[in-house]
Order: sequence, then C-alpha cells, then structure tokens
Amino acid sequence: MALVPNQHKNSNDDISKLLNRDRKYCVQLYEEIWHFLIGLNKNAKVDQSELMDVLASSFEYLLKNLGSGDFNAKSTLKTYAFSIAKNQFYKFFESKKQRKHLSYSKMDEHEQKSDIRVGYSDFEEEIYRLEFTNLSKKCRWILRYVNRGYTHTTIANKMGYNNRHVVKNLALRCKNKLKMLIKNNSDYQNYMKNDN
Amino acid sequence: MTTDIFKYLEGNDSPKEKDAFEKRMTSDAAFKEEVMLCQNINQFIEKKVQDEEINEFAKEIHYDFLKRQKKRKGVPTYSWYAVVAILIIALGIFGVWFEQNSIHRFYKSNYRAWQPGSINRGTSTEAKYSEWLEAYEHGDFEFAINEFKQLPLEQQTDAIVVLMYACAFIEADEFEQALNILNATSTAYSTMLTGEYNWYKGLCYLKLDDDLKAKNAFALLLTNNKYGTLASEILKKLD
Repeated sequence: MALVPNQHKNSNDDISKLLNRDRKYCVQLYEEIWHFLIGLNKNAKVDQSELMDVLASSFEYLLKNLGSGDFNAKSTLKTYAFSIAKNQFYKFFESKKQRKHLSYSKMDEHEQKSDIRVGYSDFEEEIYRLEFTNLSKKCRWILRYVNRGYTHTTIANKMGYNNRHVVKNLALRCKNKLKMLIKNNSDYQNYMKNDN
Repeated sequence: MTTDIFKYLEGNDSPKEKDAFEKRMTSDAAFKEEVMLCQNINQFIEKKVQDEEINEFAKEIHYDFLKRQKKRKGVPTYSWYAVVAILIIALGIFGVWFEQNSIHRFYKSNYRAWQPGSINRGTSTEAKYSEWLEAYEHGDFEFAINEFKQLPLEQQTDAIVVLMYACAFIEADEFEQALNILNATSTAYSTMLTGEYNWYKGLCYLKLDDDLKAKNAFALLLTNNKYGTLASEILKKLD
C-alpha cells in the first residue's frame, strides 16, 4: 500500500511500522486501543473477556483495512484505530441488544464507515478450504507456511529443501495448482455465473 | 491454457505474448470470460493469503499483550521491609524449588503429546478430519487448536480426537484449557481412554502446582498397565 502524503507526518511512520509488522510498536498500539475500549466500557460494563474479543477483532480489522487501502489520510493512524474500535464496540453492543445504554447512531459518519472489507464470500471461503485439501501433502504444507508469513529460506530449512529458490518455485506451482482446482470446480463456476 | 492465463495475469508474459492475449480477448468473448474468471480467482486467493497472515500476526500480538498485562500485575512496590521479607522467603523457596525441580524434571522426561497411531482416518469425503489429523501428527498444534471447531460434530465428540485436542493445548502451555477439555468429557465417552485422560490430567495439575489434584489423578492409575509404574514414581515424589 503506497503511503499517502498527509497532514499528520508522523502517521506515515506509524503506518509503515504497522505494515512492516514492527512488533514493539504493534503491542504498544494494541495497549492504547485497549485503554480506549476500557474508557468506552465505563458505563456499559461489558465483561473483560468479551472486551478482549472486541480488542482482538478491532486490531485485525485495522490491519485488513490498511492492507486494502481504506485509511483516511486526514486523520492520524491512532484516530483511525480508535474509530474502528468504537465501531466494533458498538456493533458488539447491538448484538447483545443493550441499546438503552449505547446507540450505534451516536457514532460519527466516518466511524460507521470504519468497517471490515473482507473481499470474498463465505461460499468462496468454503470452496478454498475444500480444494485446499485436494492438494498434495507437500503443497498444503508449503502454502500453510507461506500463508503464515514465513520466508522461503525458513520454509526451506523446515522442509529440508536445498535453497529458497526451490521453495519459491514450488510455492508458485502449488498456488497455481490451487487456482486451477478452484477454477475447475463446477459449483464455483455456477456461483460466478449467477453472481455476474 | 489456464496456466497461460494465470501467467498473463501475473505479468510474466513477454510483450509479444501479452499483445496476442489482449487481441484474443477483444475478439473472443468466451476466452475473455475465462480470463475474467481466472482474474477473480487470483484476487480472491491473494486476499485469502493476506487475511491468513494477518490473522496469525494479530494472534501473536494479542499473546504478547496478555504476557505484558500479566507481568505488570506482578510488579511489586519495593521497600526495605519488602526486601528483607523477600530474602527470608527466598531461602524457603529455594528448598521448595529444589524439590519441585525434580517434579518438573519428571514431567519433562515423561510428557509426550498423545499420538493416535493407526486409527480410522476417515474416507475421502472426510477431508477436514484427515487434514486435521495430519497437522496434529506433524506437530502443528496451533492448527489443531484453531481448526477443531471446523471438524464434523462426530469428530468433535470423539474421545480420541478430544484427547488430541487437549494435548494440543498442553503443547501450547495452556494447561487450564486442557483440563477444562479433559474434565468436561463424559466418562461414557472416555472409558477406553480412562488411563490416558487421568495421566494427562495429572500432568496438567503438576504444571499448575496443584499437588492434591495431581495426586488424585495419578492414584487412579496405580493399577493401570501402561501408566501404573510411572504413577507410583510420581506419587512418591509428591508425598
């Protein structure tokens, strides 16, 4: 994701720390979101373990939205993170049907829009899982490691390959194989036809 | 042909090949449709991979955060009296530690995640269970924990699968969670694995320093063919 020029110059540093998975910064931000949620929770008195769930999902949504370029350049990263947390908190409350204490409509418009963008449907997810199990054992393990963010060198060491280039080529072949399986799945073809 | 389409979409074609492709797309509607389908698959898979990486990273940050929270709660405020008290207690703790160390050495040398060996691995239609089992046997306990709820209900209530699920939590050092699982399982299900269930419960209680409950669990194993000798050994250390 390209860093956008923005009136808050520190925000670009924060965004790149988050995108580069700077662990220290991410844990610090995580804590700040937690304190923000505790503040929101003063009147609501949501159970701590449920508040932790809201925290975890807020952080995940923040990472996903940043990845898909939904960050509003006019605010700081922290403001954006807090607006996502607020959105998630109120949504959680709605699902618990405790509207008499809080109202979704009390959020600003931009907070309401700080929502997750998934990018694929439940059906596509199901097809992915199904066809994934049709890959060879070797392919499944390579893709699992790649999906978890391991480098090709680490994967080569784990799986006993000579070098990372072997892993890179194998990963590409396995990914293409998976794409072919999905493409040839008749249910998926019908789904795409109906969708269009 | 499909491989060629994916190659084109990934930008790996030469300019000549790319031109030929684009010309064909403008004149052949069916081919264009196929390319669009492949493009959808590409985008969806890239997104899925990205999301999985994000999920894993978010979990790691969450655990780091929890560790930090626990550490913070344990920080004492120092004073001279506290320092003296700590010194006195430290001597007593050393003695206990020396004894406890032998118990933890016992745990280390006797604990292994339970392995299913040759069991019915399901038919080809039970792909999820087969994959789950494979991941567990390969030591991918994190996968086993995360994907347990995706298994068919029949497997989620199977005593063997539940035992492996509990062992996955033990591997992740989540002993309380493992105990919740082992204790929640009905004895009617676990009859054939009663020995195993009590053994792992005992080990979890040991790690949680609950000697009384550990003793109770190991005491049930004294007449067990597989675990009797080991249970007797640990009970002597706990007395």
